[in-house]
Amino acid sequence: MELSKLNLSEVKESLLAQLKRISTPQDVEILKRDWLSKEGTLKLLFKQLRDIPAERKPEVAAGLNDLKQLLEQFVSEQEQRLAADLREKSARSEFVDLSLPSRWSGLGSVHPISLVERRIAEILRPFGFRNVLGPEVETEYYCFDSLNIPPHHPARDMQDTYYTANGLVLRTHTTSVQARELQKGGLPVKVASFGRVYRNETEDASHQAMFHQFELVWLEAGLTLSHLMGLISHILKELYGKRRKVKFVPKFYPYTEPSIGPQVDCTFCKGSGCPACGGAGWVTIAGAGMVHRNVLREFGYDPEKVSGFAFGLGTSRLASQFSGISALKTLYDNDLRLLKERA
Amino acid sequence: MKLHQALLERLIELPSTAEHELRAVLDDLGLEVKKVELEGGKAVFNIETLANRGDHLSALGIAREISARFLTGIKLPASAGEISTKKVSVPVRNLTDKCLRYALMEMSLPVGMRLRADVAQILGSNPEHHPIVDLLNYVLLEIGQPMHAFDRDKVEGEVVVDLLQSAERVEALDGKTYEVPAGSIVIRDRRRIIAVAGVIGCANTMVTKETTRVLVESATFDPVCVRKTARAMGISTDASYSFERGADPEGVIAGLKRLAHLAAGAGGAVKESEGAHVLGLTQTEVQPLAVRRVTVLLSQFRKELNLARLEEVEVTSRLKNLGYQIESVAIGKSGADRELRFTVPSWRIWDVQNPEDLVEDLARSLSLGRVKLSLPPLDYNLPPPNDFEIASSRIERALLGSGFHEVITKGFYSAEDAELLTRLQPELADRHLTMKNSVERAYSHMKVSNCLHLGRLAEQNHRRGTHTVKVYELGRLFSLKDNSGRVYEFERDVLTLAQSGRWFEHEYKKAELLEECVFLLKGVLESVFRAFGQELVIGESNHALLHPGVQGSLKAGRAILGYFGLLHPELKSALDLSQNLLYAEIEVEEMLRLIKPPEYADLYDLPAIRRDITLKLPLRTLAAKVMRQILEMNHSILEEVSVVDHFKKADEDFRRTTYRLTFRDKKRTLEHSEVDAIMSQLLATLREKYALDLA
Repeated sequence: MELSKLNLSEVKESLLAQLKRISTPQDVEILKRDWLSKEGTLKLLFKQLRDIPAERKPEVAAGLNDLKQLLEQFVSEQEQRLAADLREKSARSEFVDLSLPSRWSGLGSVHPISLVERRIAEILRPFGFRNVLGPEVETEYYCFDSLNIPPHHPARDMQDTYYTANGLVLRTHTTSVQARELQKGGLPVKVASFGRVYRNETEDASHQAMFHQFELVWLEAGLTLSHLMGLISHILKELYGKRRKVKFVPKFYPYTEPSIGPQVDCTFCKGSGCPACGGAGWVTIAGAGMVHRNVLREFGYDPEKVSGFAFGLGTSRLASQFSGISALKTLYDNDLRLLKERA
Repeated sequence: MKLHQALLERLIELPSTAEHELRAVLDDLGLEVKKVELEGGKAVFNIETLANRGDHLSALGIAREISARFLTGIKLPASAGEISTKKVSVPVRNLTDKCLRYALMEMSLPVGMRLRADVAQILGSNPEHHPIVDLLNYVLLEIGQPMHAFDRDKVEGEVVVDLLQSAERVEALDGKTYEVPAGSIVIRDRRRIIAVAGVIGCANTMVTKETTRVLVESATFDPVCVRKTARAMGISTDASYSFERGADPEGVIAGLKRLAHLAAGAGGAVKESEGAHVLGLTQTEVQPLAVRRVTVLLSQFRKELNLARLEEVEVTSRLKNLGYQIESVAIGKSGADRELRFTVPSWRIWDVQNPEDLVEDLARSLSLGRVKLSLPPLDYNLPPPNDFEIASSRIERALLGSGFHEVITKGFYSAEDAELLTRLQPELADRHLTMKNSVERAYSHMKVSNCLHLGRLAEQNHRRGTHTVKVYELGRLFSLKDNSGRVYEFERDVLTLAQSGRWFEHEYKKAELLEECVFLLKGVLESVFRAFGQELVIGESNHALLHPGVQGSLKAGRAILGYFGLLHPELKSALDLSQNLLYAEIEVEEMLRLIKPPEYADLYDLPAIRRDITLKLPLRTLAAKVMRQILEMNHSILEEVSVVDHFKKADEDFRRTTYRLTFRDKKRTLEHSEVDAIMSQLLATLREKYALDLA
């Protein structure tokens, strides 16, 4: 193609007609190769520019530049269009079924009993209770004798005990932790303890040889039964909800006097009596009382000057109630189908 | 204890005859009703009484409580007047102070004696019993006095109450033979034991339907002594249950008088024509009862119950109905307070000793529902968290995000489990803390490791269709020899973890290889260590319960804090596990001791130079050990050493590990030549020091 003989306007017209026929990526590539590559037509025409007489050079150069701009713009637009087409096509062809199960097994979970323990600790925090730990393998002194339960007292029947071969016991209640704290002396004593306790009995759906308890003790001058009942009522309303009814019945515990049993209205019958509550309409969920003067004396406190109270409940039972689990055993089965639901 | 409404109604006018209302009253008095049955239109309440209240074991005792609650009077059951002063036909001696009172009443019984129908209905009397035995049971139900009848014609010589010097065997009324322990109170005649006092009579003097003459024993025995005997004999009778909780010393004669009345015919419980006759009564020397007095200020009642307007008359009238005699004395200049001096009734001498007992009695008779509640003061001096709380919050931070679930397992296992562990780790033989008296065979040994519990738990979950088991427990392990000298000598807080089956959920993807799970779990353990401010270092280990080829110690610096690895194949087989179990134990107390706050340092962006070296390592040489050795060469510009490749060909007895060494200076751009120099020195050292072949 000789530049000097070309009518660039005609070339442009012809090119425009040709461009209208271009639709595929291959067409664009051919166009680029034929016109815009190093060996392409446009490059060759620009090389011939030097042979054009000076008076025509500006006009011819402008014509060539016009062609170049036309082609480059066309190619650019086509490339963008083709890329967009490609993306769209590709997007249409790709599919991930998001309804398939996720592979991430999710967050883990804290055991329902731990959750209950934390909730109780949270309720007690504004009163300044310190959470303390104690041994599960205990001496009879801390588990019974110091708590006004001498050998051969009928109360020892209430707590079938595991005796170890080396003369110790598995603690039957977290009250033993209370005894250890009282032994440290000082006032006020305001401690809570959570943990495992053991009872040597045949297991069934609602009785376990190991379960969990919580207990608090508060010793200070001037504490009364009214304070104890007020605090328990507060704790139970926080745990069960303000609408639940709370009442108290007399109980016997060797380490407290007076002793009381806090009850809440039955979840199922709301107090009218049903098989779940044995017809009573109420469920005893805790034990409590004023610390017995023999226990105070045992740890060097003067019962005429200091009083105090203790309150304990089975956190396992509470956890099963809150989780909607009918049998205590289920809590200790560690069935992950259940635990995951709480995650 | 069975409480018959019909019996109760003879003693007191009840506030209601409706069974559910009576039940509510009894529950509110602390007499927990376990079950209610109807007999002849009247309720029979099965009651769980309080362990310190022997007086609640009778209708009369419960009537007193109702009387104090509703301020109604009690109709005391009729008794025979004075019993004949004539002594019984055998001499009686009491040789022990464990018997507080002892009386024998001799009666002649008519042939064909029969109970009145209403009495028989309450007792549900046994046609095999002589009616006199039913009457003894009736008196126990009604007024709470346990008594026993001997067939007079079978008693030989004198009756002696004594302590047994050495154990003896007896055949009891129930047809069984028991060994009675030394120290028990027994009743003897001239030749043999005829009753184990307060527990059960012997067959040798048993009353039968043919009996025509009885000696009725009524006594008060020491509660602890009766309890020891009954427990040693493995028996609990109505009598022992009552004596163990403290019987009324004044009930000794009252019981006999009531029996005499009931058995006599006229107005009693048997047909008039068939009445028994009292032939005589002998009491051993009566020990006078110490009078117990307790003083409580009226203001103390008011304060405890938060009832500022509680009237003295309400206090005294209720407590009088419980049997207290009360003297009231004004105290203080204005006489505003009253000192109430209580004399404790004979049936309460075993449990009432202190002012608190009186507060309890008053609160019960008022109903605890009347106590005005008050909240003790708040205190915002929040105490610091304890070790367990610190540990659990840090552990959870690391584990919950990784999908681990907290579990709670039992603290013990069976002898067979202990034996299984001991086979692999013989030194465990004398480390187990064992139970003397476990009811459940499965709970005879406290656990020294949690691997069995977690293994079984994992398998149960797999069988229930859960493919991914990732669990942890923060609990105690128990060992006799470990950790001696600590406060809690036998136990320590340990974090145990287990992973079994798939790491990630769902079956439509291929399960991870064991090696993937191992390193995923290792990552989790690293997170746990970081939560305590520590970098996890895996060391060599030889833990007997773990797979010898897939295990390591968990170290922070040089301190070994636990172990981690695949459960030993022997254990996997013994537990019949369908999947591999990865198991880890971390000593929590040690972790807490090493706890460090997080450390931060400036970061530098000057370009690093990285060099890779591949080493042929013997199979059991830990990659981390070599890495540590490289770092310990202490080149100031060596910033990091990491493993970037690791493989072993099947036919080779070594593995190739590629380490990437990152060099960086904090202040200037490094020259390749200075890194080259360090590398050649380092390679020379590695080759020489560890005899490693460079690939």
